[in-house]
Amino acid sequence: MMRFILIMAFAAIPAALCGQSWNGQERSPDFGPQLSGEVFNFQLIARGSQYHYADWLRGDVLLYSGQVSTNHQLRYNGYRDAVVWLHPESMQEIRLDIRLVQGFTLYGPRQDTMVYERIRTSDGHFFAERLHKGKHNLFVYRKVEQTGEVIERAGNALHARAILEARPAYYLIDRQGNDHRLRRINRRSLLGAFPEQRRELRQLLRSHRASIGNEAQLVRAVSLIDDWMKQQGL
Amino acid sequence: MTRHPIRFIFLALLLLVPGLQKASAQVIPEDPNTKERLLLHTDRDLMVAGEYLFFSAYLFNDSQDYNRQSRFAYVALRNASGTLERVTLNLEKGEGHGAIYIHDTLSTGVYELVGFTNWMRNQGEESYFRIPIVVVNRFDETLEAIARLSPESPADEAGPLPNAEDTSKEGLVLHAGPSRLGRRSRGSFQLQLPGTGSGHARVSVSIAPVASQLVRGESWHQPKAFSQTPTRTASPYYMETEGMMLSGQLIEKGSRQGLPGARVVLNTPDTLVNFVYAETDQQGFFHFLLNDYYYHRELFLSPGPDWDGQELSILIDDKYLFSHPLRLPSLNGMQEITDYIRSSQDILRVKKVYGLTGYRNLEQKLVNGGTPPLLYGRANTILYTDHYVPLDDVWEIARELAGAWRIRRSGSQITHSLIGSTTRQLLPGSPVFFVDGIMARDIGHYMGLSSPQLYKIEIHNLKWMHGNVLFPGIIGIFSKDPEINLANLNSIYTRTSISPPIREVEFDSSTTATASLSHANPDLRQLLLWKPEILLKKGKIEEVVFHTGELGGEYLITVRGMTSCGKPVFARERIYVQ
Repeated sequence: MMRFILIMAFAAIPAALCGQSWNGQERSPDFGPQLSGEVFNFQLIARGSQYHYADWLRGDVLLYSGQVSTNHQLRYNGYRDAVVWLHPESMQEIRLDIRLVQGFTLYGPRQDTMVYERIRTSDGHFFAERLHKGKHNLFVYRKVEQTGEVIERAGNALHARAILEARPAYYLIDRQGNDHRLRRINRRSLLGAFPEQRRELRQLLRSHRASIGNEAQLVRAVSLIDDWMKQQGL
Repeated sequence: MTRHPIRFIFLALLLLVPGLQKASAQVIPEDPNTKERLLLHTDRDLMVAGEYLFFSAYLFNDSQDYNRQSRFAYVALRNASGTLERVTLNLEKGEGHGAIYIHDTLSTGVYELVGFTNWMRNQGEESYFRIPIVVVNRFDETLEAIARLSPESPADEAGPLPNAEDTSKEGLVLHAGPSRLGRRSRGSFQLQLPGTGSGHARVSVSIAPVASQLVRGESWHQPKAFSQTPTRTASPYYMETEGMMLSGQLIEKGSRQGLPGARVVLNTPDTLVNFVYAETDQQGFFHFLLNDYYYHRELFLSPGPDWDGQELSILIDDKYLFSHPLRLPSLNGMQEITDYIRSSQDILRVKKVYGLTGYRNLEQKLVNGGTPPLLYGRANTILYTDHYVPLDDVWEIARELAGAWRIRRSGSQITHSLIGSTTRQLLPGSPVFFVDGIMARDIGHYMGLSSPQLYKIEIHNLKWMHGNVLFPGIIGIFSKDPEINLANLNSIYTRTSISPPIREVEFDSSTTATASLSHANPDLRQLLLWKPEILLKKGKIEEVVFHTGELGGEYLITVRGMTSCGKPVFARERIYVQ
């Protein structure tokens, strides 16, 4: 509960600043771009969450027009690959028009920032969180998939409840836009993206004792590889 | 160790957040008491109608931050009967320049060039910069209107008399070359902003006959202080740092009272459904921030659909409405002026015969580079009518081609609805209907349009939210001849347009040089030079070159501008063409 209050208080600061009165008279009009989307019911009878991060977070939306619409309550739905906007007046959930949204930024409660971009890969278009920016960009598609279904009894009725599981997919995209999907978070999978420098990179990771077992370690490894490639002029 | 760079990026991005907010829609300075002052410099004060009047504008904002000052200035030519010409200037680092064509149908008399910014309007007209311009009709032989302007006319803010000793108090130094020049010869002079350091000044230069600058008006030496009148607090005008503003008031027709808390919708004819709205304040005022997309387009304003059936009216705010009376200038040296006018009338006649203009038309870039305010990225269904067999009317098109669009007639009333594409159920309420990009009210007007008249139909059958406006589905029809259909739109709409900051002509220094040197054509220029956008860095000498023509006489080099600290600079020097 305390955490919720803190999040809401943090989220309210910029909103209060933005709506600051002009000469103490009236609220200034908002000349920024407006968000557009479908009023959508995201409810699903399911076990597991559709969201990588279930709480509403304060965020900004970058439109394809280049304009930035700031200070909204947002979350990313990995099951439907949708940016969801909590409308401040009607409190309805709005699925933002993906044809207008180039990306968005979420500001987490621990002062962390998650930058999502709409990326094009050989597997399709989707919003993916940028984990590393450099010669090679590392993205994670926070995908949530239905892995099964359970039948549950509620009184005399039977309900089918979907089983949802997070299935993040990691993509390395080079500056030419070529993408390589990492099947697993491990050294072999990462080195598979660099067949020509495989041996040197293995040495590099060993010399830095860079084990790759989780997302943070993967980000560090990609960063090391990027730095090494810059030094080598590749 | 691993997270440190990421934390740094997170923190950097977090610090950027307030910056992003400003970049998106910053139109209010941090200090609402910020004041602006605009100065104008014209190439001449007295001219015969039928030529361009060139001018420069210099803005000083007491924040001294180029990012927090107006990017647009407005210049009007007016006389006692009203505003005649309007020019919008794009200010780059506080400086802009343009030209107004003085139509040769203008009668002889006193005119005024008025310069201001939208932000200065909060200070009232007292803060505007005003220069009296005396215009003489080319065919006026009696010059009675000129004779009425005696040297004793009230000119309480009279400027300095031009004489050879005039130099700026600010210390702008003008080193003229030889004061006597031959006809069709090359001349030059040097300009210097004394001192050391990083300061600079932006100035413009004119070389014109002395008699054309004998009008005394607002002093450049002693510009008025910032107006002490209280800032307009209720419904203030916004500083145009990001784009031009369109303001107005929504009123009830009967009571003429402003309507607070209502929405005003802005559309423009296009092949896209575009939509932007503003909410009215306590006095019923509304403001739209317009980007380049709206240049050269007709703008349709209407009260939001919630107010249908009410007698409302939209009053567009006219920036060029002036209430202050015209200031009468005083003329020094009536005989000299009369002689100058008579010879100028003859010279202009000859110039017209030879087609000597002295200016160059500027190539206009294609407009509408701005971003349209789209309501949706792409409609769920788009029907291009040419792809199907011709159908007689919209009824038939909806029935045969657009399964989700249901139209019903009940007596004289026509209603329509949409089947939602997500829910496959009827969307509650009537879809909002757009004709050629304009939100229309009465669908009945357009039922008779046949396939050959229509270009496409867009059906967006979703319960749609845009900002705070809920749309129970959207229908857009686009015709091959939008003019006809837009004429049908009823009186709810207030049509207007904005004048974009576009320069049409500039002083042609290249042709004057070649004309002077080639002797192929007569060179009857009275304005020997008009050069805006001169950047003077402290301590550095800038050389300005000009060419004399075939007209002898006494000319005045006038340099005016503003330093980076907002101080006006000024210098004058006489030269004689033998």
